[in-house]
Amino acid sequence: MVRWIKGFLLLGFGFLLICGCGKVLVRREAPQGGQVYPHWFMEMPLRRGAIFAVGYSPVYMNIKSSWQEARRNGLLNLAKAYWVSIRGQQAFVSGLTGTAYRGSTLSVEVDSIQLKMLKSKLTCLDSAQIGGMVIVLVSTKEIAVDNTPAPSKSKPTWIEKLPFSPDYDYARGVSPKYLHESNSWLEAERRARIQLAWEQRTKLQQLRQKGKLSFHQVTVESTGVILREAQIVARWIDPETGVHWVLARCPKRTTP
Amino acid sequence: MRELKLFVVLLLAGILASCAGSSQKVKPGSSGPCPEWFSNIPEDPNYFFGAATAVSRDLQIAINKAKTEGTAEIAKQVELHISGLTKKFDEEVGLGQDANLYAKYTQATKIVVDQTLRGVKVRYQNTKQEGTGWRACVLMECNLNEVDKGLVDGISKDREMYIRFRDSQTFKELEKEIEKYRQYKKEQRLP
Repeated sequence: MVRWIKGFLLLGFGFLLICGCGKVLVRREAPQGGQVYPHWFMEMPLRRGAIFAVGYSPVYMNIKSSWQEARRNGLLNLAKAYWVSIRGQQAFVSGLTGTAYRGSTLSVEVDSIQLKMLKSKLTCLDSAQIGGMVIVLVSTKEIAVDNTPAPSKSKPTWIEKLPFSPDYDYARGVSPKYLHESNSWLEAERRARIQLAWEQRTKLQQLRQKGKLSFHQVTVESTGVILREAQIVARWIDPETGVHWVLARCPKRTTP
Repeated sequence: MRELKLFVVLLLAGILASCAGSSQKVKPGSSGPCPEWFSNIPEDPNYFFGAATAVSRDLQIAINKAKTEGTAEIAKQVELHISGLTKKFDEEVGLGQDANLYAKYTQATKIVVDQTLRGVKVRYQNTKQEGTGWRACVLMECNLNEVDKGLVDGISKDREMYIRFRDSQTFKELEKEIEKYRQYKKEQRLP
């Protein structure tokens, strides 16, 4: 009887270690020689009245820490999807030799009250471990999602031409391949949100000095918008270059 | 010694030139590293287009550079279009003779240019690896009808301006075109 109780307790402890979200999470090991992503990761679910986000984490020695970090990151990304303020500028300097990037001062801010509210409603819909990364799909509603392995896709059409919709603005974000894959996706998502901000509001200021033998131009682009319901729609990795692509969208009614 | 100085100067110039990225504007008919749409810009009287290409070691920066160049190209075209309309209004309404009216009109056009740039979108984008960096080619677009609509709305908001402008041929033509555009948007369920 005592042995049976001990076994039961050990099993329960192991179960809690794996479940970072407090519910059953599916752990998917990628087969050797290739990454298999769940369908919901490459093509995010899109449902009216629900917003989805993915939380990322590198795989740590203690897998429980990875799940917990991915969940925390999922909460932050979900808050960004609901409400994010993007403000700042980027500058370019042009001369006879070409145009050079001079840096940017872009700030991406989340509503802290929204973050607290979402914390109590957060629902982990699925999770997976792919290579050295743990991902968790989160939302505020319990919705069944397609967690079958996503088929490897050739270059999607949105890489060259953004989808057109009368209701949504679309934007792409790209990131190089970093050591931790989770960082590549996080950076691509951040850039996609910033691109959405540029799409919605751009103020351009240009100062040009042109002489007979000289040319000097400073271009400053500024933006300042609040994006609401800006969700990641799709993801793709270029197999040749390792570049991570992300497609994001937000409703056109979003006010600047 | 002089030769050594010359060599150092040339070496530094070479390093500086290789560090700077390049950004080229559209040269119609030119064949380059970009796809077909870059040199053969679509002909659409309802749109302004701005094509640009840029290189950088970071792909996103290459895209941003090209998009900024393309947007600047469109801004120039919008300003040119506005200045054409200003000339027409000047002939018909006598903008230059009334300082108050001219100031109001200038303010309205400034708002139009600012709002128009919010509507600049990417029609096509192409990226590819080039040496150790990336090349991005973009074709930006902006709807001409939105520019005209913004200007007519700006004029109509001010009673004094509207009274002076409404009977001019240019204003009537603009209103006609905008009405056509409104119908099109309604049919296409556009916002």
